[in-house]
Amino acid sequence: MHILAVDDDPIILEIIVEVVRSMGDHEASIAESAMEAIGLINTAPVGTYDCCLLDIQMPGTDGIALCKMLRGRKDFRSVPIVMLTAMSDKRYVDAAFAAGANDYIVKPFEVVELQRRIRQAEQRAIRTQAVPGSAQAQAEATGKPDLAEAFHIFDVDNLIDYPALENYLPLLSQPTLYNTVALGFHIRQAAEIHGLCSGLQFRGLIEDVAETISDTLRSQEFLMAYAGRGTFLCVVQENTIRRRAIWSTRSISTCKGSTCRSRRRMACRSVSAPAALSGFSAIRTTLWPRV
Amino acid sequence: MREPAGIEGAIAGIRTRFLGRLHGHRDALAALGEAAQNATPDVVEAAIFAAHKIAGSARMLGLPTLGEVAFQTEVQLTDDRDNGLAPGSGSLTQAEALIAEIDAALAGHSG
Repeated sequence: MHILAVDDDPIILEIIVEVVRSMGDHEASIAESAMEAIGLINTAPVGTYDCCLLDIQMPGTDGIALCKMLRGRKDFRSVPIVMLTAMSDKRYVDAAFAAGANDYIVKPFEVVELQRRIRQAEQRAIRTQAVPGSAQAQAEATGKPDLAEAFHIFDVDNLIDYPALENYLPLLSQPTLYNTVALGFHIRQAAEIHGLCSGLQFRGLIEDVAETISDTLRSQEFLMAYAGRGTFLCVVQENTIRRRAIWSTRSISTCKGSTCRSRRRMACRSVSAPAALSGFSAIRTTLWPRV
Repeated sequence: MREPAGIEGAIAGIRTRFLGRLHGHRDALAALGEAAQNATPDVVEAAIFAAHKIAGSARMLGLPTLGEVAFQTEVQLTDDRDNGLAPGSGSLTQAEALIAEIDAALAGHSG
């Protein structure tokens, strides 16, 4: 795996290089700023970098903005991005994940911990990476996902990968966890709908539902992920929930085909029940810190 | 995969280079101490930068106390700055404590 590490501190970069070298098969390239990183990426062949380690606090463009820029590129849509930063405030953690980070490590870190997270990123890279435009990428975009597959959904605000959500939750402090709720949304008869749809239709349906949930929650502080089997998990700051009315299933059920964008409309019409979401209240659960 | 001793050796080499950089960071903190409450924004920023750099690396290089004192110094100086204040006595005392920790680290690893 070829890792691009971006940090304005040369000492941290040296440590990262040594840790990466110590792991055997990996190599690391380094940049001391976001602009230098973009320069390296632009001059390297597509697919050169398999993973990015990004500091947040850097002069000029910060790591969160860089993460967002990378996610805007087709060739970095699925590349694992791990934030490596001294910034532990929730607002930075939230912003990083919302920008597309897959994982978040707070400095100072243990060498073994960084090695573990790099291995985790490597597994993700193996699972998800396909060269844009390749046959594999085409198959991933149009092939029919397994019903249980928590496939990646692009371009929906505050929607992150399910494994990223799993990485996010342990970063929340205990007081934050006490004020956090998890909401589950499940598409009724998801298995039957999956059986009736083509891959493109099923993906379009899931994307539409994701977008509807995201739009409905947009006044809240939240992150959400698709967990497979027609199920979504949303993590919401409870103190941002002000108007209970927004939680009505009526407002969730806005996706009826006519409001969908053209590519997805076909999927919505053909299955005719894309918004058959079960009520959130049945699955509303307060997240308690694990002991 | 490299043996654990290999990475330890590499980290020891990085630690030596880190200690070499501490002199510059110490100068930035000393400049803040000299200017005290008349410190210009540039002097304050340089001191925050120095504390931030030390805090980010020291604890990973086997210098936990230095890292913790640097972190506290960064927090105090940043709080004063963000509140539009000149460095207060608490910040200046903390910066002095950081200078003392830097001296101790340099003395402990000299020769």
